[in-house]
Amino acid sequence: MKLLKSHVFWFVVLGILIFVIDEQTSDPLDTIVVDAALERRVAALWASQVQREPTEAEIASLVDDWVTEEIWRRESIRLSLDEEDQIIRRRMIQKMQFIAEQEAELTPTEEELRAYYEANHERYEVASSVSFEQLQFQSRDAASSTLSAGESIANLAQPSMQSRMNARQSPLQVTSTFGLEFARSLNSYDVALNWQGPIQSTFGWHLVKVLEKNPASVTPFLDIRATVLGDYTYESQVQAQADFIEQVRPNYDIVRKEK
Amino acid sequence: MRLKVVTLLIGLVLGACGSKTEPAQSVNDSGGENSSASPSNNDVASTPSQAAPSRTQQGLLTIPNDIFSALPAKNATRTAFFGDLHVHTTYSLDAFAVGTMATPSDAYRYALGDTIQHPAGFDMTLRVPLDFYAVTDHAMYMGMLFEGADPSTELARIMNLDYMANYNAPENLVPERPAVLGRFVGDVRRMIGDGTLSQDLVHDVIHDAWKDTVAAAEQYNKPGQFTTFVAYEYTAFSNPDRGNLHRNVIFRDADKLPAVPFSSLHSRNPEDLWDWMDSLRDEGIESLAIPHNSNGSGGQMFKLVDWAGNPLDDAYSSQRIRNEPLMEITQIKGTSETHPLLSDNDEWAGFEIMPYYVGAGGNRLSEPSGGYAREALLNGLSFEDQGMKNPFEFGFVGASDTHTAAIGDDESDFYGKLGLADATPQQTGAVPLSAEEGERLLQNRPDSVKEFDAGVYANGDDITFGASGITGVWAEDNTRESIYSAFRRKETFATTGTRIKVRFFGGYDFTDETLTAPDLLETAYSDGVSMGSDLLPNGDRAPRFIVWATQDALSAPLQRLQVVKGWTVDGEPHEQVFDVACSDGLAVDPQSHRCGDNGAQVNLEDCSISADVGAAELKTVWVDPEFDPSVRAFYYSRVLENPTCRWSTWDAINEGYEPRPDFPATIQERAFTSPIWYRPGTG
Repeated sequence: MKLLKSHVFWFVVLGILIFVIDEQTSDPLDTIVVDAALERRVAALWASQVQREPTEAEIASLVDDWVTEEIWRRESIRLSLDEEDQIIRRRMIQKMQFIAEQEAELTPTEEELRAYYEANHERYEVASSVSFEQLQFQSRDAASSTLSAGESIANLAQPSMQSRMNARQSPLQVTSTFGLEFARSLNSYDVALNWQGPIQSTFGWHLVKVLEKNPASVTPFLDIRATVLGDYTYESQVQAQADFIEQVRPNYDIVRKEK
Repeated sequence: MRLKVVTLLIGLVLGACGSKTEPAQSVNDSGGENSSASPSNNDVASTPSQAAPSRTQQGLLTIPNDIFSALPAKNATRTAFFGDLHVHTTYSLDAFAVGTMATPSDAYRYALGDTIQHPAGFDMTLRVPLDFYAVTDHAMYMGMLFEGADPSTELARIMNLDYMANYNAPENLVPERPAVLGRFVGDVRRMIGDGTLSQDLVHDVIHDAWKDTVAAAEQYNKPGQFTTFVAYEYTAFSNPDRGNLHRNVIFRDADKLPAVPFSSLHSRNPEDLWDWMDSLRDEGIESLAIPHNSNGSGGQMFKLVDWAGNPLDDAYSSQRIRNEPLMEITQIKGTSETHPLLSDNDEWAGFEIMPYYVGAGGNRLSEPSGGYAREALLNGLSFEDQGMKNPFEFGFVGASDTHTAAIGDDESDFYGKLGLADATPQQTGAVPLSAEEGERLLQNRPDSVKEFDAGVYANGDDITFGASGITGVWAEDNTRESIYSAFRRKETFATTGTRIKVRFFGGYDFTDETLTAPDLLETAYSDGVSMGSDLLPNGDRAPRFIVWATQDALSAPLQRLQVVKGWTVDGEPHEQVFDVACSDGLAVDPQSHRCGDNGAQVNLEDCSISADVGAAELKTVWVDPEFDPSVRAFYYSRVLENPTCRWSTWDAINEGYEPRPDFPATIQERAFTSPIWYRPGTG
């Protein structure tokens, strides 16, 4: 056959042979495969940034860039730069934790969520509050004597920096404005139409008219459902990670070496 | 239904009355019929011409100048409300970059007393809830990091933001993560420039964050109980030539607002911001801007030339003061009242001085002149001496500038302001770094650390930060309308974090009896002017000031009340600090104008303070002993607590160290009232 006598033919066959053998025997790390899928990938990424399809020449250039980056990456692995890198270690831990969380069932049923809310009531509490008027006096005696004076009591009071009317104040707010002693004494009074006291604050002596007292209460479930769901989900994630570790930890033998 | 309409009508009528009362009264006052005191009137809504009755037309009757209230004014003597007008959340680029995921809603929940999470994982709860709060995220790049870190968004796809995917997912909130802020900002600028990123998309992203900010403000605003303001920060950011010219823009209402906030991406010139605010005002959208961190502005905030470098003229000054009636005098990044180099006779001038240029991480010092309030107030008087408008006729507010949505104003529990970047006392420099880290920085970045006996300390700007501050206002009730009106009246005071309450009135007839009369406040308001106002001359009589303060029941007692006076003679500025009331029965020395030492001590082992020293309440009527009726002057009050531990001392003690030797171990928490201006020749 004419073909078998052609130098060119044998040159090509030998070339293919050498290529195939080389492909089979050399270190796979040294091979960077450029295929249509890769080209599509780099082209799509580019298009999403620039808002148009790349030209052939641009694709070729993108592929060249990708190959260069790939060489960088493999060179770094050759030097084991990935092994002691905190960020890579952290990233892999995160990915595993994420998988562990995915395996747990995190979306609660409505019953589970309500049960969780019931079990954690104290978290959804609203502090007690009190509404009251106050008048300030120079001394304990001035306040007491005014109390028996009855009429036009406000005209006998001293000017006060603190508001006369204090609406829906939590114990903390009362304490922060008038001091702890005052807050304690105020708490001991019942709602009444008349002035009561005297009680002492950081600033002096006072008479108070207690208008309204609201006990501490728990926010109704439906008003706070989103917060409850958030708390539930967070706790479930923490639990899922703990469960996972408990499960796989027996697979590890921790050897502590003496220094 | 009918009842509602009637109520609405009454509301409208009252509203209309309210807006016309002030100018009518000032006509009265300048006629000298009732009183020589007049409230300052920078209210943009009112103009004198609208109130002046015309007598030239010779009508059958002359309209009297009398004012009557259809209903007795509600709480006319006003109540103190406390709040913070400077709070960053996850929508701020830098807050997001330091791990903050708290949203505007979370910020408002925190202000109401709920617990929210610090990026480093610990809980943050306010010691006592606040009365008002404004989320002020940076307008530039608002919400863009938040959205860009979500790989499913168009922004992340177009900008190819793989490098910051899920940046603030809980598992990524670790100190060793790579920094992304600089790269992101660079990418945005480049991609807007080359067209990769369309203006529309940028504005869409900002609009989404802004819409959510507005929605949160609306959700949590509860008239009578808790007030929110729609607000944002305009950040003409660090630039060596132009300085830091940062402002918070506060909107009065929320029913009609710009679709996106004006930012430094639109212009870095604050005069353009004022133009924009003026144009919004023409459309019925009222706002004001509050400059902050003038201390770190490179001396640029109150400089005496405009953006183009020309001397300030009346047009500039009118526009500035119309839009900026207040300035933020204290916050975490330092206190901007005055500087020891500017006020060498004020022993308290060196309080929480943050000496650096903002954003330079403690590497570049900021020029004090042009950056502090007192000097600017004095320069304002000099303008008036020359017959020009005063561009710096401002009142004071305090704020935190937190970047975690939670304010850090408690010295004993200060969690910094920068999330993961200053979450530990090692990072702030309150205690030494680990031996390993200290050694590493000493070798590689010796400028960033300082060595003492106890070890190597971080030495950036964090250690110069203060656990400060909040705003107090005197308002009729806790509503947007009342509190915003107080801003406009400048009836505001600033504290360095504690809830000192302070009243400050100027008049001519106050006596010691006024102080104890049950109707003290009624008298003070009817016969005088409150903080933030102008006091008109009354012949040659010296003004008398009511200065009255009470302590925060949860903080230290008061040590003294002061009045800071500034005046100009032939354009030359002068200033003097007068002690006006002393605790513990001590007297003011008439020569030195100083109280005797009350001997208050702080135990640096445990931060306990002397018992039974100091006053819960201090109150006086003060007459300026050096008053000259022909000299223009301003007066503001400063209230000083007894000393307490600085936050860095608390942190050191908690970690078992001595307080760092190069910073004060204690501070005196304080309050500053807005000034009262005395103006000769205006009576």
